[in-house]
Amino acid sequence: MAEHKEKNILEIKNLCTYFFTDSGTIKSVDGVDITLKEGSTLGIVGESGSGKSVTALSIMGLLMGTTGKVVDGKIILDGDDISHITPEQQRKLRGNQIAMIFQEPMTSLNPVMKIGNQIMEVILLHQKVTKAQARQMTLEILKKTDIPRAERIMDEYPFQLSGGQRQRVMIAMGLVCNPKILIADEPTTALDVTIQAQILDLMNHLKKTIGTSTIFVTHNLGVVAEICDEVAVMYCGRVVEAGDVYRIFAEPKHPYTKGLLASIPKLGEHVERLDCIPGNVPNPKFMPAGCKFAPRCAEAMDICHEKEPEFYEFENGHKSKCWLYDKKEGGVGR
Amino acid sequence: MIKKKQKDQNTDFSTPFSEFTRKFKKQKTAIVAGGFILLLCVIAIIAYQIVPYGINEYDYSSILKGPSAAHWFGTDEFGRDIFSRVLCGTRISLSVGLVSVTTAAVTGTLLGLIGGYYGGWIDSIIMRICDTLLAFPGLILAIGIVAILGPGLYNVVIAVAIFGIPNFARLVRSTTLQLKNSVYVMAARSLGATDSRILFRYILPGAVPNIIVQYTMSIGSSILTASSLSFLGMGASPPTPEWGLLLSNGRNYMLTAMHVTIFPGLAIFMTVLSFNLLGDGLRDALDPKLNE
Repeated sequence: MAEHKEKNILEIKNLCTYFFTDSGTIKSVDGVDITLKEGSTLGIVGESGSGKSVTALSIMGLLMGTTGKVVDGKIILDGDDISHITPEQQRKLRGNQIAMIFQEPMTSLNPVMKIGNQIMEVILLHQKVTKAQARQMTLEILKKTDIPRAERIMDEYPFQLSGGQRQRVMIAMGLVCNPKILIADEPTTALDVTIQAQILDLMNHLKKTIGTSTIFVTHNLGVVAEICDEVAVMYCGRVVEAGDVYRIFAEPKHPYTKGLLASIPKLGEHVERLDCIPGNVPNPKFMPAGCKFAPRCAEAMDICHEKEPEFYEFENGHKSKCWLYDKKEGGVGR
Repeated sequence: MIKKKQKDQNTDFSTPFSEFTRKFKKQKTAIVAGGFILLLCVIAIIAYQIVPYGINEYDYSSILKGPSAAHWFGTDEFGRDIFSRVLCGTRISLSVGLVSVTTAAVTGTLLGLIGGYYGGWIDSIIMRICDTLLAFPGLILAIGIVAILGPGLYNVVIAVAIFGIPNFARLVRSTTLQLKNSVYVMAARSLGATDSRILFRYILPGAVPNIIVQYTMSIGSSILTASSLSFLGMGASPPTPEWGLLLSNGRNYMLTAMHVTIFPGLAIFMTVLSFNLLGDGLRDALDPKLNE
């Protein structure tokens, strides 16, 4: 495990994705830095509207057709900057080098195409193989996803499958070309809990056998603890804390991360009210000036309302964007 | 009945097509209409072989005779057998309807797909042209186009096709707009599918049920328009046995020999009605929201 972690398969530097709407510019992602190490799983956590999905779509180059645009930053995939390539080059990367699994398995498959043909299509788009070979590859990947009756499902339509089966098919489609990176955008949200566990197991297992690095976008901290090696916590389009999954859960540094962790009910503990973070995510059109979390933060200081903090680094690459760790500004230091 | 229903649900091989046939079987009127259309198609193919008289066989000894055993639909002002002429006119009317609507459907579908998918100025141009075409009443527009192109059956086909295009373009565009933001199109894009593949394999199939219904309904109305143009003397020229033209010829004898107009009129009426009824039935069978 340790030798894998040396190489960064994906580096995102200062990614800014803005949406230009009639009523003003919305800065959905504003200066996100993320690194994904080869063979590892990175969890991106955050509330709705924190920019997790937009970050994922920016990496995929799937913002066309929306008002969104990557205005700044670099996306470096295995040493190559892919943030300024042509749409056609981007298209060739998708499905081949980077694949994505969506939130809703019920609607992610083409309703009028047989399962086998849909997966074969991905292979035929990216690889020079015959149809028979593609069919064979399809069958193999379907079997790897532990889907029952793989041969028969090849000739069935999506509406004949359950949600869990469809998500397995989506995973098969994502992994069939052995992509370098798999982005899973809340892949278990729409499934019931037992199926969630099965899908997570499957993804963990496939990650090890195929060796794809994974970005896991979710708001479920339980899932993160289960599957991720590293975590990036996002708030208002920024990464506020990032680091090793064990350290984040054991020693959260940012008040927002602390709040998130505190709001999970614990087994065996009786409480009258669950902890929550007071207030709401600020309206993206009226962002506070300083730290975006300051208005909701119990530990906020004067500087927090004036200036945005930079990253403060702790041991093992654990880092957090919070003034609390700046001694000069009255924080407690590291 | 209940037993049969249960059997249907238990067969795990229920493809979209079998689902459609199951629903369509319940549309009795549409099946009758479809049967009649099939009969028309057969007549259109073999009419010239089965007619009792040649279409231009003049018989001055029996002019404007009413229906009889020898002449089922009677004879016209030149003693020609109206039954034979109506039968042979089927081929003209059906082919005018099919060719013009097919042209309109293909062009309209392509325009609708492109406009809906790419949006922006392409969409604006396509849709403004469609709006302009739709602003004219169909027949007036067709007359205008024939006036520009000159009379004749081919130009009628072109005219009818042109005024059919905006209907298809709008219909397909609306489905495209809806489907291009669907998750499965996004998923296809995330797997690197090309635009043309997304358009033709992911979006177009979603629009096909609507296109089929619109197609069937349009054939009826375009047969009507084509006949109207011929009636007005802008389409087929005599002695072609075109239904509209037959009507137009018989108009002068309406009071003395009604049969000359009634039978071609009936042919037009029955044909248009069957296409509309078939279209209705197809719509009911293809609409997933209409559950029994």
